[in-house]
Amino acid sequence: MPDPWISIQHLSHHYGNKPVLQAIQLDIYPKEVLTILGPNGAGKTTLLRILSTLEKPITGEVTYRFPHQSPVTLSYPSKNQRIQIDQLRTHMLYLFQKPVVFSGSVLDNLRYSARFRHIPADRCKIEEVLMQVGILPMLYQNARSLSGGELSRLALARALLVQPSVLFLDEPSANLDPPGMQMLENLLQEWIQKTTMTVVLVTQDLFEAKRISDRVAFLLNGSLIECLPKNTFFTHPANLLTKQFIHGSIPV
Amino acid sequence: MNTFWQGLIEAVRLILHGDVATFQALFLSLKVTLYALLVSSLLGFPFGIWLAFSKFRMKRLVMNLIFTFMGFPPVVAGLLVYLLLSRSGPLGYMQLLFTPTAMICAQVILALPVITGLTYLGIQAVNPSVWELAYTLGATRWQAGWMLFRESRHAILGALITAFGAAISEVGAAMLVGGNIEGFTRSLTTSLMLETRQGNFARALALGLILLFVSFVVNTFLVLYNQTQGIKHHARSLD
Repeated sequence: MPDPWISIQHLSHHYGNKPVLQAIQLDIYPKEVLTILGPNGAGKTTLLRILSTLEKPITGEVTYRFPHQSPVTLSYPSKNQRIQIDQLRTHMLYLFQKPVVFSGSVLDNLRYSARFRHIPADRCKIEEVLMQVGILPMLYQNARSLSGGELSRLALARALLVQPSVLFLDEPSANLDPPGMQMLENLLQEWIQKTTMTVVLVTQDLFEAKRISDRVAFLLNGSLIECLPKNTFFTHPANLLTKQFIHGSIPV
Repeated sequence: MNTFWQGLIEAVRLILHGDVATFQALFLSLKVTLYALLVSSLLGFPFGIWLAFSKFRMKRLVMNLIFTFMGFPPVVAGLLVYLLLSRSGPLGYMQLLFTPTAMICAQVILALPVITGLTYLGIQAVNPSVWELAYTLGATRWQAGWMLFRESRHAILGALITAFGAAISEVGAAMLVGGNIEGFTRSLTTSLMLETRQGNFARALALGLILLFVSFVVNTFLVLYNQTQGIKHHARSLD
């Protein structure tokens, strides 16, 4: 196994008195699709937001080892780690569950994305990524007038354009229709074969996890129950809770 | 009713004949208002953005004060500036009392809270995820703040229009700190007051109509600008 790109140590978080994440330990490797599976309110999104530095956990440590960069460790509770965080941010991209856009056309949105990443955004490249996600005809359309599915595709186009090392996907199936989902899966497969990208995906959908992932991590009430390769996870989970979740009886 | 017609005719006559006193007052009003808006914008927009983002103790109190100052009585603002700038005041050595600069200072006190408060509210109304989107794409914090500001541009325009209306129509502070000196600190509103006191109702009404017309023209430009921004945006996308 290569060195993990992201190592999470003893990560805990709570909102007020309500614990959200409890002592999470997890390694994320290059070139893999890791699915974080769990019921509503398990803390999946919070974990994703913390990993993409949108949120700060209460305690814990996350080490990032990206290619062409010396390892960076963010430890919490933190004082000022802004410089380190800014170094990391350009390696990662977080796609929101509810897609967000800037006002302006689809083209403008992609141009802004490129500008913030300091990558050249020539017209051909933008048209190419829009073609890949199937919304090229919407190039000049106001991004606010897109449908939910088209917004998700625009978000994916953004990811294709900026080519992050790690892509965080928060419930991508929420807005996509079955063909859209198929497209997402194909894109991710193709992408991972071509590059060394890692995808961390959050979902509550067992079938989605089954189709896309290499490894599955099961999160329940803020605790990481287990993290196994996909086949083992679905056929021989070690933990009783995982078994119950897979068979549809969610423990509360 | 007669007075109204006379006022209307007088207004047309003053403009067509290029009445010097009227034009001086008009230009002073515009100059003072625009400078005050410029200063208030330069201070108020960043301040409003900062307030929308920052969390600190007493923030509720600060916001409450800003919203209160949005309705600051102009005469009180004038009085404060008067006390500051009067010869025995702390800034008396600058000899600014009864100058257009003093009038600008008073207008800034009135316009700054309006612009700050409305910017704050405008940014609050924008989906905060826009900031996070810019952030996760790698934008600096200022770039991300700018994206939010951009999203709230209609509210920003509202802030400018409100501040402009308040500043150009204001009379109490302009009178107090400007002193209504003919050809120097006599604005449209202060001369309107003078004419009314002297019983020149037609002339006063004429000045009032000119004031309204100027306001109308400026607002037309502001709104047009907002619309063409949208069109330009579209056109840029179509290049």
